[in-house]
Amino acid sequence: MTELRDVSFTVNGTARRVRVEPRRLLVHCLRHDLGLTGTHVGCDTADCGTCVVMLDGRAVKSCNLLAVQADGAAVSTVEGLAPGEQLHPIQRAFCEKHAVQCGYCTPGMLMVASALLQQSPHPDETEIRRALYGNLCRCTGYEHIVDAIGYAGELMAEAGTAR
Amino acid sequence: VRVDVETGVVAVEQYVVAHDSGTMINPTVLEGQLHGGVALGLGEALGEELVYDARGRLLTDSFHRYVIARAEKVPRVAVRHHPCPSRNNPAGIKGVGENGTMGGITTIIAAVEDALAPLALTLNEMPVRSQDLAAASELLRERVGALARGGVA
Repeated sequence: MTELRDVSFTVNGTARRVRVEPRRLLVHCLRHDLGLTGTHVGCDTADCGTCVVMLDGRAVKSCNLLAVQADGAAVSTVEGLAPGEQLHPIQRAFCEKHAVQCGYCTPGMLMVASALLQQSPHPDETEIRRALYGNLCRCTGYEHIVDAIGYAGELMAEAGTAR
Repeated sequence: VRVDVETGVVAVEQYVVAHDSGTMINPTVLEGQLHGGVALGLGEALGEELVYDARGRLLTDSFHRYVIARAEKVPRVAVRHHPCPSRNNPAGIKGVGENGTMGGITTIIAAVEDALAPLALTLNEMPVRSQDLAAASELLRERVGALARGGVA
């Protein structure tokens, strides 16, 4: 029997403590141990990007990290984008621009968009498409996602949203 | 499309769809279906391939071997609507689910043939592999080189 490890971290601003096997992937810890099933698993091999979360402010693929590697870190998931009832501007933009079809890739797309817009509040199309390099979408052909991310930048500038 | 003759890599630079969707109910959703269909077709034309080894084992068993279209590879899709209402139902609607796919495959592969017209290729398989295009253009360069040398001599 593998010795379990304690992992303490903040998830969407709340301090959490879990006891996991050392081999537990971060994405499985988030989904199964913490019940945050907004983060999806598409491939388990860091190809598809639907598992993207923020780890200390950086977009990372949570299927390629062990939960123990997140010890002491601040993790934010798609559930943390809109803390209240109101949608985050990125979510609003995805709705308005019809950037969602089946929705499986959406959590990763939202988190990558969030990371991009923090670094570059008004990205051009080339920048957006480059940022989406690690995220696969089988439905939309990306165009509406690209449009939504550009539009989200405008919405966030209007609202003065810092994050 | 633009083809890099050294590497055989194909870039789709511009794509136009003219589509008869019958009576349009939600043009935004409709265009999303067409964009998605084109991206599916582009993936099948240029990357997606099921490769098996001699023992029947699938080698392209993950997304880094089975290459589907990523955001940087898919161009913006210009959509021209040509709605002719269907007479088969009262609303005049037609199915539009990912309708760009089949047209996308043949259109892109035909555009590759056209871009490489001097090679006079007939591309009847999908996906079009960049290594094959690079090899074909290399062969042509060798022939042209041989002709030129012959001409000088």
